[in-house]
Amino acid sequence: MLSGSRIRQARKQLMMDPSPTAYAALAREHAWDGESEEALRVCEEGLVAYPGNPELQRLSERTRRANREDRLGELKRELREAPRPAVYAEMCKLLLETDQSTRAEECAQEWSANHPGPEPTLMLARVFVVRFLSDRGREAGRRAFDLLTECEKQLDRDPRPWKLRLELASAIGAWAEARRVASQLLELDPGDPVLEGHFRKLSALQEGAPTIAKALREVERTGNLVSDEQRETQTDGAKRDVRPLLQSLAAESGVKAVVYLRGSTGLVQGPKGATAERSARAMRRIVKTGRAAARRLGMGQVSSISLEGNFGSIAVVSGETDAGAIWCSGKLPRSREQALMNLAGVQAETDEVES
Amino acid sequence: MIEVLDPLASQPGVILAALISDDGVPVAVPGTKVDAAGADGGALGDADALAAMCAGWLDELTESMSLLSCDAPRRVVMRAARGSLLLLRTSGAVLLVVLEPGLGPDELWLPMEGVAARIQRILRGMGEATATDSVSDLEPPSPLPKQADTTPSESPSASLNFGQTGGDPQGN
Repeated sequence: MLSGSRIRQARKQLMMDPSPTAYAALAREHAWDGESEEALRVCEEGLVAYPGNPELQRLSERTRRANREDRLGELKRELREAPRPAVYAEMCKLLLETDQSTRAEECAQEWSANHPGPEPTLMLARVFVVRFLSDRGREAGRRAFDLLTECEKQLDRDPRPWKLRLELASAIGAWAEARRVASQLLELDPGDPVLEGHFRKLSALQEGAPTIAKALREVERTGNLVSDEQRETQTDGAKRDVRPLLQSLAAESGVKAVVYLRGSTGLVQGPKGATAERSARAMRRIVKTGRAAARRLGMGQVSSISLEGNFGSIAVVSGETDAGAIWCSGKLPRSREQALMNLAGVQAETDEVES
Repeated sequence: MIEVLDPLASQPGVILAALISDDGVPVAVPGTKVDAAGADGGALGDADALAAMCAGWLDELTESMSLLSCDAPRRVVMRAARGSLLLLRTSGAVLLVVLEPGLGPDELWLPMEGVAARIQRILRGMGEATATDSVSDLEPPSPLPKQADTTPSESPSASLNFGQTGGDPQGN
């Protein structure tokens, strides 16, 4: 009854002032009342009015996560009481959505042990594909290809393993392999215009294309997928100017340098001339070697790297395609770390190199 | 060394605690979250590979820092999707801890510094012992073969031996 009145109050507030804060307040009230679907709907409505609002996005993501956690709890109970393939499949899917590939792998293996067949193998292959696309480790990629081969043998003329193989081969740039799979898919679905277009594109690219092993090695070395480069080209329109953020960070006391890195460009605020260039090069090496080490160690994507020594402290926050770094003379305060997090992943304009 | 690392490995959320000596030899102790180690086919399940990779990465970081005219970092933290890697460089060794995802390193620095200090004491003690043992080995070899300490009463037998084997010095 009390929560009902609070919801009414929040709704009235939203009607008078339809701001992102008011949307978030109403969504929160619904969430506290256990109406997660309604909370999600309010968040989505707010995001339509204020696209990209971080508070609403965070709230929406948190509500979704809570829903998934609830469902996972139910599925676990189901699996204890009456384990069956449909429950295993949903469990694995949810675990993959929540980026818990290790638990998804365990679940798929349990499924395979209890109900042997091609479906758990396909799920296991999916787990390794997801893990490879996230970690870019060669071993996960090789395992995914092996499992897909096994699936293809078990599921004769089923397009699902072929589609997964096509996605994986296209992501790593193994064009000859991708073209072979696309032709197999066209045999199953002749005349599909999307597939035909893809096949033509792959035919043009297959000349001199690397083998699967070579392409996997290259992805592990560089940490870049071919699909990343394509996505980066597509998101060119969403670029933002990062300079004000760099300037505000560099203006704080004790900050020696702030660097933003994307592609082969580095924007440096603080040092000038050759020192700026050296700073950018050093930060790039820290990011590159850190990402490579994490891939080799099987720890997945790097989110941040911090170094401390008699030089002060250096913090690097790594996004998917870019990174931000800050060098302070003392210990890095939490507020600066937070600001640095906003720096990575902004897809800033890096058409010009400045120092 | 394992006893020294044990308290660190038993901290909540620790997947692995290890010590990498200067010559690259690892001493690893699995933590409380041992199931997560190596589950993703990485090097976390293999202490030798982990030690080699971490030592290699630290060298690369040192090279990167030299571009900024700075010394090698003492503390390194890498947060990643499947956990965090903490490295603490001390003289003669690197202390390494792998944490499960979502845990921060802040609570672990103090025990790590404690372990590092203890390791330093042990290594210093070992170094002193080795130095004492090796003093005689470092002495230059004497130009004549070493003889057992002789007492004055033994000298006649020595001259008698000379007489028996070498014969008369005058050729008789």
